Amino acid sequence: MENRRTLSVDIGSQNTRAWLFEQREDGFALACSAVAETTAASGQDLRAGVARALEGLQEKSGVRLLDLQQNLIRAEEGISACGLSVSAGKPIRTVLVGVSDTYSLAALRRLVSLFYTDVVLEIDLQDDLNATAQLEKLIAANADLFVCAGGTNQGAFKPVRAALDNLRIVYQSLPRLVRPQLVYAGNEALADYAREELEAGEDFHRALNIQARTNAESLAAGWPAMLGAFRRLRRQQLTGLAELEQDWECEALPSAFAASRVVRLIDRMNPEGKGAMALDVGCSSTIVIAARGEEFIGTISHPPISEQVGKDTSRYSTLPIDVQSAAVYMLNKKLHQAFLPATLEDLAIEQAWTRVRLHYALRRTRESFPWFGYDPELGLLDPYEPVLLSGESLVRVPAPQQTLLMALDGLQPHGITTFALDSDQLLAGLGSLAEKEPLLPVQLIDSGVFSNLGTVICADAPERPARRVLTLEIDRGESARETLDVRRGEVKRVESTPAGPMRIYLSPGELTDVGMGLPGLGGWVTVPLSEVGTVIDARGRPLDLPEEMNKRSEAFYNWLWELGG
Amino acid sequence: MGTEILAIACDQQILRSYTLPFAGSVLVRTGQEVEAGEPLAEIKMPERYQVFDVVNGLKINPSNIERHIERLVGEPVKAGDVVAQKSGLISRIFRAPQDGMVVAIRDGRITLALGEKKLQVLATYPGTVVEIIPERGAVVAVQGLLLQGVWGNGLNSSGELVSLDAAEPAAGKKQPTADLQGKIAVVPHVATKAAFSALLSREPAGLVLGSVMPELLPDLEQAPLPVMVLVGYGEYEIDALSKAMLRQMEDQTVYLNANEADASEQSRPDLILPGKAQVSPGLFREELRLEVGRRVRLLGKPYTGSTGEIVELPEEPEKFASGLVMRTVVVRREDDLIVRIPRENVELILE
Repeated sequence: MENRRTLSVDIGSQNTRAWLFEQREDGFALACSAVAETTAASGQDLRAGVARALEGLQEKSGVRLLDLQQNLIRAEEGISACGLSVSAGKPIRTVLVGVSDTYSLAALRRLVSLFYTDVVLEIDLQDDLNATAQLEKLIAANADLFVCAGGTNQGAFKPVRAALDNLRIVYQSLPRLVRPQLVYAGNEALADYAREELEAGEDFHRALNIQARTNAESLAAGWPAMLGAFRRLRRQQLTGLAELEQDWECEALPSAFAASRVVRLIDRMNPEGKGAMALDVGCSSTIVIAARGEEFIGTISHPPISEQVGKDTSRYSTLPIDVQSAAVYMLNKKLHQAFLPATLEDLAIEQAWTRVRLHYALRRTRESFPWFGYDPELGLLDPYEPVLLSGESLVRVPAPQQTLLMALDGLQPHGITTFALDSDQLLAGLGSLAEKEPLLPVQLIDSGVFSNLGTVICADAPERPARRVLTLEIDRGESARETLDVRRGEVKRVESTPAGPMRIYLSPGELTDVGMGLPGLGGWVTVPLSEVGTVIDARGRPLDLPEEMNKRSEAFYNWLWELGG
Repeated sequence: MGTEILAIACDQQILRSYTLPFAGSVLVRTGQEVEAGEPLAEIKMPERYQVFDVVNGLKINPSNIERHIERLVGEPVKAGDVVAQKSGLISRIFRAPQDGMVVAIRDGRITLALGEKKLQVLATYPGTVVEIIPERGAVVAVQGLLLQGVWGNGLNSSGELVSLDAAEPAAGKKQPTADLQGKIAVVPHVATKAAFSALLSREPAGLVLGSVMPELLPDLEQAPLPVMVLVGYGEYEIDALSKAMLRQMEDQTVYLNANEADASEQSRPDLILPGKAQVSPGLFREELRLEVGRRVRLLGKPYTGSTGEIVELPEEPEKFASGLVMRTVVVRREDDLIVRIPRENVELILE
């Protein structure tokens, strides 16, 4: 079909983003994008914000998308498929019920982590909580969502049955205006019993057992049921969502979950690769998604503003900023989330805070997924490539060098990796279309819709500062090759060659680890054209920052200067 | 993101929805005048639940359980009623400890809902009921002075508005005790925990603070009385418009609704002085947007808290000192200084 058009809309808490894709001769391409204010407060209909975003698309693309009644034009000249993702709405008050803390509750925390939940109560069925106390707690939680997992298949079921009895009373007794949803993701031998016992009709969502066998966990087994529960809740909570889904013939996905589809796709597109990672830093939440083969990690965290966060923010600032100034900025930004830094000082705080939010999110991810290779001191130990950066705090930045340095300081990766930037904040938009138009995200990723920020080579060596740790030989395809010495504590940049990929030979010192398998081991690396170029980070892990505030901010300033930012 | 709207309005129709979290009964009707604190809707709920394990509690054989249970699901019970019993030489009886109802009998367990508690939603200012929200609550309207803030601790109260020059008495002056009892006190800035404690010791009914230092946040959150912050965190003066509004409210009974600000719900804490004028239900509020001539309050150093009038809205984005390129609003401040500021960094004032 000629000029087949596809639409994707992501309804965030502040902004509603819309993207229009066109199928051209060489595949799908992003035609344009638009942003409007989300209209999801009580008394508002979120379709108003969506219509404004579509009007923006119409204006930019010259393509008529809305009819006179503001309905989306489908049919042959209109939109062939729509994707819809949602992160607007209050966090979903969630209760987890599991047979043990370390086993099923930990798995349930991982299961619900990408669905905008706020876990308000956890019931560990091995606790000595009597049935009355358990019931009182379940009622007091006033939850929107109850997620229950009950051990391995054919495992013990008595405590689960008792908990289901209480859940039924909670569900049947409370005249909640938003009907709570019940997800059962446990012992499959009890699933039919759970459905009959709870008498919740379509509010009951049966999942396959996420822990069918001991030491085997499959979060994917629980996702369809979680998606069903998420949609039914949001349709009740967000005016206009159900109608939008019906008119557009699509079902909304949680934005973070939609984004995770793209990360899994990138990982699958490179089966011999290291795994893919995406980081989305916004004002109120940070999303971490990582995929490598069957292994999947995904969390949404909401960093607190505390004295420690103030101290950490002051520590990572490119200007000398005291703790109180950092706290004033962060607290006021929390009050006015759309606020943008207009001064250098505000920008320095914002970017330092972004680094701290990344640290916090990675720590939280490690707590939920103990096998996630992150150490708060040593940084990201697992190799992921690419690392995709998204969200206002990483995208709305004056220079790509600043984004790259924030990511580098926030993650503190090891070895060699590539950072890419989701400038159009497309992750969720592509993910929500992946089911209907599977080729679309693949072709867009292939076409370079995510810009290549730069290749990073981390050289870690237990050497004294200023000692040479790595020598680079740079082959730009010309007769003469350049060499570059890198010393401990330095950040260096090698600019990209516009003509095409460049080869760099890494010759590390005896003790220097550049991620080639062993300290002292080097080799050739081919690096593609990128916005910043190739960055060599020889600062070591953990980052050795000067204690004195002025010297510390000077160090950050110099590193940024080295990157050209 | 749209521009934030801040109300500093003299003759404003103030509308507020009061709703229960559960389906309940609405206690008022449209057109009814209500006072602050008056219940608008309520729901009766069990005070507590009790789960009784019949098999273990009565020491009976699970296969014979049916014969020992004396009540059916849904049946009301009075305190002392026998719910289950095992007769015989050593009889065992489970009696209802309180009036209530049998809500479940499953797997040898009886669940009782006991007692009754009322969950009510109360009006926080006097006004007229202009809309009933079936089974949930009502919308109350009043015409009056409205001053919104940026932060609240979730409590509300009312009292006579008094203005203090500072949180602490001048050096050498003795701290009065309980002199603010029943009053809503306005304080331009609170810098220290000691100053805040000193204020609390004077027992006001509520506090309206211009600005506060960040370290006070835990104390503000835990304060036993409503606290509203007008401008934000840091050391800022109260803007001229808010000051003028506070002067108009002084010595009169005001209603402080220090509800938590929620950007997603576009709600803010506020201070209300009800007027005498009739409310005009059915009037729609005009949609506010950035326009030349509108007044705004500025955010971000060095302008935080100052107000001014929009004199220009350039179409082309401009590059700021931070290096970010943003759409701009040009504002003439009260002191006639012309400033260029990102559109995201202003609050549009509803007057």
